[in-house]
Amino acid sequence: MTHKGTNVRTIAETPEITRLVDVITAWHARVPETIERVSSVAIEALSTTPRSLEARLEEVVFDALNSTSKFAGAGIVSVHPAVLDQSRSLLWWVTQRENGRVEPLPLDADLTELGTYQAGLEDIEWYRVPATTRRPHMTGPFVDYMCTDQFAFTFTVPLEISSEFYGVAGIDMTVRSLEEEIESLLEDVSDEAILLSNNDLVAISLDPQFATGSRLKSRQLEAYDLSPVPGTFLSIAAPH
Amino acid sequence: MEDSRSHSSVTAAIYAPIGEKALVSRIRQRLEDAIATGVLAPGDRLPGESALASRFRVSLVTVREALQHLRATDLLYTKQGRGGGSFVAVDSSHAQALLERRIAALSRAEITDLATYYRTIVDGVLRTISAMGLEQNLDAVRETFLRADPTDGAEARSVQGGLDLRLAGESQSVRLVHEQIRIQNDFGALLWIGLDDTDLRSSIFALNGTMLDEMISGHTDAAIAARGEAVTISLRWLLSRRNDAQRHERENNR
Repeated sequence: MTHKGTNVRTIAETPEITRLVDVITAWHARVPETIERVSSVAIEALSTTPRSLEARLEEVVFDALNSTSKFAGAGIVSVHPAVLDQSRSLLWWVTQRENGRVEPLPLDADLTELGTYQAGLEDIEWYRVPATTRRPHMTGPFVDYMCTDQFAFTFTVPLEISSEFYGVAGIDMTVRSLEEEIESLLEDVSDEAILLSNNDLVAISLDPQFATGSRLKSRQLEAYDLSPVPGTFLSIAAPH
Repeated sequence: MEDSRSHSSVTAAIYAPIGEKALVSRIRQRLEDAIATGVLAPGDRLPGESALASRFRVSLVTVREALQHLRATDLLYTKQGRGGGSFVAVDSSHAQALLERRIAALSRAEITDLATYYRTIVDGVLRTISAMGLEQNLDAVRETFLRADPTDGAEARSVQGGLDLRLAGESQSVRLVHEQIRIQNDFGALLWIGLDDTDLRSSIFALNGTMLDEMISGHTDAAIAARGEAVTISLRWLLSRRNDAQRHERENNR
């Protein structure tokens, strides 16, 4: 991971930092393998029997969403004709908790209060970045008002068949699911520690002047030592 | 004798009506507005009753009652069997009359108050975006907006609604998003009635562009001013349509 500031200092590796990194790594651990499962099912269906796409995705997504309470949603998003011929562009399910039971609900952008939200799918970060870089991306934290109505991270990877871009596969995780696990560990690091996402976006801040979802300017970042969490898009920041 | 605390304005707010009873009429009103302003076109099929119930987060009974009202007034019709469901029935002249009635029923004070509320939400949204340092996120919003090329008022209202909702989303405030959705559903279709007029449409869309440009270059106040002007243009048109509609009604009643 690279950082924006030129003279960013790294936090010394203390036991507190190590514990925090371990917990974040564990929180993140199942993300890549789960997306991989969703995307391989989508690719398989699209290359053999496109008609079965929706049913097969539903199966793998239900399984993923029921396997842990950490995932708030999962699926694929595509504007490729091969997908649109068969179904909708948003093949995404979200967890709906009712009477203690998890019930995956298909996200239907046509039925949301304003269906036109769909018109700009390709410009939205979780679609646009993997489409351009052809690499996995983590978007957020942002308010996922299409499904969870909470701050969420959306992890997406490009869906490619013989290097042709078909769309993205991904999962949503709420910020809350991470906050619950690391809040006290962050306190152990510093009273004003911040968990940053993609280098400068505030995910969880113990310093109340920085709201979740806001972006730190490079001048503000200079006051912090940073410690990236390997294999994730997150880093821990503590004032010098 | 009641405790004096229960008479204070603060405690009064706690016991203010929640509005459950109004659910049927709110659903009916929302669908009627969508039909009147052409967002739902004749022949369009509505989602199934249970899908609607889960969307609106109300009971099936409530949805059925609202749909029943719309059927009774010939705005919807039902087809049985495979491919069946509730369909939008009205022809465009009927929709026009519906819209006129809806506009005429609102008082001038009500309309300006709704417009004030609408404007306040978007002002708050724009200020929050810049306070959070998220102006650059609007590049993508701007791209989507500029790509849209609506050919009539209904399409333009969809674009406008999509833009306003996405802006609210960029503020990263769950509550602002909810307020935006609510005011948009209650009043958006009427407020943006001015988009029916080709000239007004291009003025309003140019102001949307200015608003986004100013936001991206860090001039929040200029962006808010551009948005205010767009709302005012459409508001003026709505008020004059209301006067026409009321005059029309008076003449018919003579």
